[in-house]
This record gives sequence, C-alpha cells and structure tokens, in this order.
Amino acid sequence: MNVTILEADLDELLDMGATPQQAFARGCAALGNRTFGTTLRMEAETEEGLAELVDFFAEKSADAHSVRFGFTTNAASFEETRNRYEELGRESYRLRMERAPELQQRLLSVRAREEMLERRLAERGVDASQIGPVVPPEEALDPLLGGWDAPPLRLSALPPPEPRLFQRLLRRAFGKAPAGP
Amino acid sequence: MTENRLSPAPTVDVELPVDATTLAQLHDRVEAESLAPDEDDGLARYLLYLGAAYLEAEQAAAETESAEGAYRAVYRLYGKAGAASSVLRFHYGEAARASNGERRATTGRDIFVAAYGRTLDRLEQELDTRERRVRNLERALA
Repeated sequence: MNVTILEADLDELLDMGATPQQAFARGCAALGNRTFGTTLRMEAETEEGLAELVDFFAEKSADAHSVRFGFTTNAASFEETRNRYEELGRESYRLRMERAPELQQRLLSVRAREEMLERRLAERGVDASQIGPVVPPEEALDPLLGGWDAPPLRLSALPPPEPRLFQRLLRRAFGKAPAGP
Repeated sequence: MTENRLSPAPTVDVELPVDATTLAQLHDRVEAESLAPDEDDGLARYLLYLGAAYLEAEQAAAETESAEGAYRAVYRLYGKAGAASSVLRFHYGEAARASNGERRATTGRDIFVAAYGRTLDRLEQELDTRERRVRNLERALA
C-alpha cells in the first residue's frame, strides 16, 4: 500500500535512522495497547510514568503531524480559492469603475445628440421616427444602470448624546447635573 | 492581522507492508480507540506518524542515563508536540474558515460579474445602434 506523506516527514524519519516501514510497524504495535487521555495519572519519573508519557507524546505528535499534513496539502486549494476571489474582485472593480462609467458617459452623450438631431429635423418638418435603426423604448437601458449602482443611503440624524456615566451618577446622587466640561 | 497561510510542500509516496487482511485487522483495533482516523489512507499515515513518535521518544529516553532524565527528555518532546499541535490546529482552522468564506463570496462575485458584464454588453449594443442612427440622422439633416 502506498501512502503519501510530506517530504519533510520522511527527512525527519531518516534523520532518526528509521524507515517509514519501521515507524509504521511500531505504530501498529502500539495501536490498542496504549493509554491516552487528557491528564497524566502515573507518578512522574517512574517507569510507569514514563510509559504513559511516551503514549501521550506519541498521540500528540501523530496529531500534530497529521494536522500539518492536512494543512500543507490543502494549502494549494486555499491559495486557488483566494486567487479566484481576488481576480473576481479586480474584474468587478474594472467593470464598475472603468468600463461602466465610460459606456454610460458615451450613451448619455449619444442620446443627447440623437434628441438634438430629432428636434432639428422636426423643425424642418422631417419625421425622425422613420429614420432607423431604432432602439425600442422597452429595450433601452437606463444609462445610469438604475438598480445596479444604488444611491447612497440617507441616514437620519443621530439622537443627542447620552450624558456621561459619571454625570448620570452624580445627578442620581445629588439631584442635579454638575456643570459639564 | 496574522495571515494563516502555509505554503504547499512537496510530498512523497512511501510503500508500507500492509495488505487488505492486515488493514481490516487494524480497523478492528482502531474501533477500540477513538483517536485514529477511519479511512485506509489516513489510518496508515496516522500509524506511521504514531510509530515515528514512539521511535523518537524511545531514542530520546535511551540517550539519557537515568529514569528521571528519560522522563524529562520525553516531557520536553511532549511539550513541543503539544505546542505545535495547538498552533497548527488554530491556523489550519482559521485558514479553512477564511477559505470557506472566500469560496462563498466568490460565488456571489461570480454571479455579479457575469450579470453586470451582460448588462454592459447590452449597453454597448444599444450604444452601437444609437450611433448608427445618429449618423443616419446627420445624413438626413445634411
């Protein structure tokens, strides 16, 4: 059976002079024959205490290495999500702050020119509605993209500030407010 | 604000002497414990890490001359492993939480960008039509 571990884990093992197979065999031997919990119960610095401590350490170390493996192998996916999130943020900014204002400005000025030309043609008795191509009114967009760029919120005025706690306590104690700073 | 990031690191595949029967026996023994992972790959990796820790502790203990010294040496390892585990768990949790948030926000941004982009495309089409009409109106006026 092939198992994936971090290269750093393998290096740590080899530095100890052990192989992955030896480590695995030792882990299998411990499984089901160890004590674990949250508090060391045996007397410290005794043989039983040492055996218990080794069990506790092994569990903690295996946990730390497993978490490190999970964290490291998921790091690429975290990075990918972040890059996509930031890329969409930049794209959203480009659309809203660069492309949209430019198009809106152009559309407003084209519409103004169109109306001016229609008026001048009408003055000459020409029916401009016969000159196309025409954008049907129901398909015409609001150049300001109403609904997309909502106007800023109008906030109601704030209530007058509460007297300071110290002043309130003085008032409660002496029946009148002292002169404020 | 701390960035909870860990760079991707190279991995390596190691061959372990375990067949289907051994694996089934290991799973039976795991049931008696709640700490080991359930799935094959995770269990094998966990047992490798567990065994490596036993070897490390036994080596550290063997390098000392007294029971007290051995206890202190392993206790130092225990403290180090505990600190590493806590720090890693915290940062991993934070990174996963941030990533989930970004994934959800990405969906929202994706929808917005696509819809807003379509609206701007329509705006561009309308602009094109109106510019052609303006040219025709100018021609009629000339």
